[in-house]
Amino acid sequence: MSILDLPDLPLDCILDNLSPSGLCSMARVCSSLRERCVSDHLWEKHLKTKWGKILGPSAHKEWQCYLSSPYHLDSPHHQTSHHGLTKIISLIRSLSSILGDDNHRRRYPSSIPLDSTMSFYLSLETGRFWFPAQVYNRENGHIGFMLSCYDAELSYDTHTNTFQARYPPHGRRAIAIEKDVTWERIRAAPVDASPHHLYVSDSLNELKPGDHIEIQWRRNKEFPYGWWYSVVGHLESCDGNLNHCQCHISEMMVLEFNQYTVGSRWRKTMINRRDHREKGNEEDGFYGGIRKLNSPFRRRRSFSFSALPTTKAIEAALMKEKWLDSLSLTSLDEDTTSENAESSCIIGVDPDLSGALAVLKFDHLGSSSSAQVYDTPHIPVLVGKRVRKRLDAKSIVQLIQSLDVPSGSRVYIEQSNPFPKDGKQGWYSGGFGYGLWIGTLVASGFCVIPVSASLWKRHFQLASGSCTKDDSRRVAAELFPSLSSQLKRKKDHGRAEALLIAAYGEAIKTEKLLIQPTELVSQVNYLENQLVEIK
Amino acid sequence: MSSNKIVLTSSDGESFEVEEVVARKLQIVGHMIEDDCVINEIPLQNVTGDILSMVIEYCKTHVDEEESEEAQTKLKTWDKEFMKKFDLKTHLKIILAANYLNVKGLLDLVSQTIADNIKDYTPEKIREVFGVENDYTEEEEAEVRKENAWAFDEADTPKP
Repeated sequence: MSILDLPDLPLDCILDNLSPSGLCSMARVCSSLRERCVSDHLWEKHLKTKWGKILGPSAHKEWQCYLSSPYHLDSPHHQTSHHGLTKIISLIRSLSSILGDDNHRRRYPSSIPLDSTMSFYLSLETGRFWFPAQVYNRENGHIGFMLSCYDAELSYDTHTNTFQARYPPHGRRAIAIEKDVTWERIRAAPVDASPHHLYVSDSLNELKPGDHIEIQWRRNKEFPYGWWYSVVGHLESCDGNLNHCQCHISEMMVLEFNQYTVGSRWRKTMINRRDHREKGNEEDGFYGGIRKLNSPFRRRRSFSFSALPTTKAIEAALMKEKWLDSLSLTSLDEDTTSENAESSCIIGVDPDLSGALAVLKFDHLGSSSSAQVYDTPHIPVLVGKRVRKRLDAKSIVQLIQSLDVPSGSRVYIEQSNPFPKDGKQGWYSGGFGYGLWIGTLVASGFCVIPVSASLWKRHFQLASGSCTKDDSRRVAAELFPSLSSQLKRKKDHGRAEALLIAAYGEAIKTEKLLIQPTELVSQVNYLENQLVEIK
Repeated sequence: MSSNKIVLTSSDGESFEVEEVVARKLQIVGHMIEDDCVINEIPLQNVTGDILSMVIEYCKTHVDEEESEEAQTKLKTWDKEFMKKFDLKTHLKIILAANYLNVKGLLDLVSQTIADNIKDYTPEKIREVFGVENDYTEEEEAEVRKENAWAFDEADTPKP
């Protein structure tokens, strides 16, 4: 039996599971397989998985230009001027292939359709197509470009899994080419505009000390802008005390570039937020538009530039902020969570049916703490013909009320995230439990903060595939020795995970800074003296 | 729990008595049951006994859609071992049967297995294994080879 005898559906299922190189092998087998293997629907997911993150709207636009160019020259810049001519040529080409009397041609078009997704994928993979994007720390950390992000055209090298970058000329300076640019140094342009255009700042009035931003900067007016990372600081007249800091309403705003040492002329600049457009001089360069970055609520081991968010990420972060806000129902007057409260509580919830709730109580004065853990109450329910476990709402409410935890306390709950093959019962009960817990906790006056499983597991080094639920119990027993007797049985992993989720919540409470400025300063300190000269 | 038994008969006359829950995993049978056109015996024209027994083995194992992660991992390991038992020819027969009997999970599993095999093959090997004839002329083959060249940098030597 031949694979070609398979009906469409199973054959498509097989092709759908093939990697790009698998599809290429199949295409070479025979003409009818080739016809299937070049279909867009098979390649779209590969395109998205491999290239999606670094291809912005400008890269897609450039691809369209590339398609209509008659000679597919190496550089995508050559074609812009003869659009009309290009169209005529491509029209003639398509006509000749329709009218062509060659039988072979009809059965077998001589090459992959240019505008196909496969052709896009292969053009990227082979490096034939140079696409526009941005590169962090251009010219391999060249001291003049530390912590900046510049526009470039990129070409992929499949052998080294890196890119070649071509930077547009800086005034009289020739085009710079850099090899071996790694994936994490590349991003899609966050705003869709030429690096010679001044970006119109949209959030100047909202900025306050501690906010992370990127600002356009160029050496002189012929140069393209790059995006430079900075943090909003306090005015000199302000001592940084939150209670009487007025910096966020002051007309002048301080931008700190902590990557440069104290005293460096690049370390600080002042911006007038009322009428800021472009500010500067031939000496210090020109500071242009500002865009705000979010400071992700996330634990980071070390600073990496790839972590800087794009506009989409900012939107997502704003949405997340609103979502988190919707998960807490505390009145401001009785907010007992403030830092100087004498004691505080953190709750962790593993919302699974076999999960648990853990309470950690801290006494800040004596720095003593205690931990308790409770299994999730559940009752048997007849579902269809089977008896299944379901959460017991009333007992959950009673459990929460019995806890004696101040309202407004934070609750960290594992975000329900079913696996595709969990089956409908798994999906249903996962969502049901998660929703029931959130509803009950919010109604009881807690601030609920969902945490994805991978996040807290990574914190305790439990994220690798080889870690089992037994490892969770082991770590929990180490952290909470007084509870180890309650974590002995295999099925106690729900208790262990609730405890660890709570402990994770406690740990991230104190880690709100994205980066430690001191860490950065030490990295670039020794290079500082050369900087003025090069810049 | 219903323990209604249903008899499935293959094209070569072999009969299998299975519980209704197992039979329902074959969606073609599920539909028949819902349409009330089932007496007790269902003839399945397009599947031979040896293949049908494999499909039933799969359905029996997957009849309990357990929720826990552990059960899922266990099932996945079983799936892998199950597929290892058969050669490519049988894989093709199973995928045909899974398509006809409409067993989604099995269809996914077998197509993944076949795809995993293909990915290490050269085009020549694929032709040989799957009985496909090369209908390219020499020039065409050179042309196709060129356009897919990226995937064959190692000069067509089978990957280790």
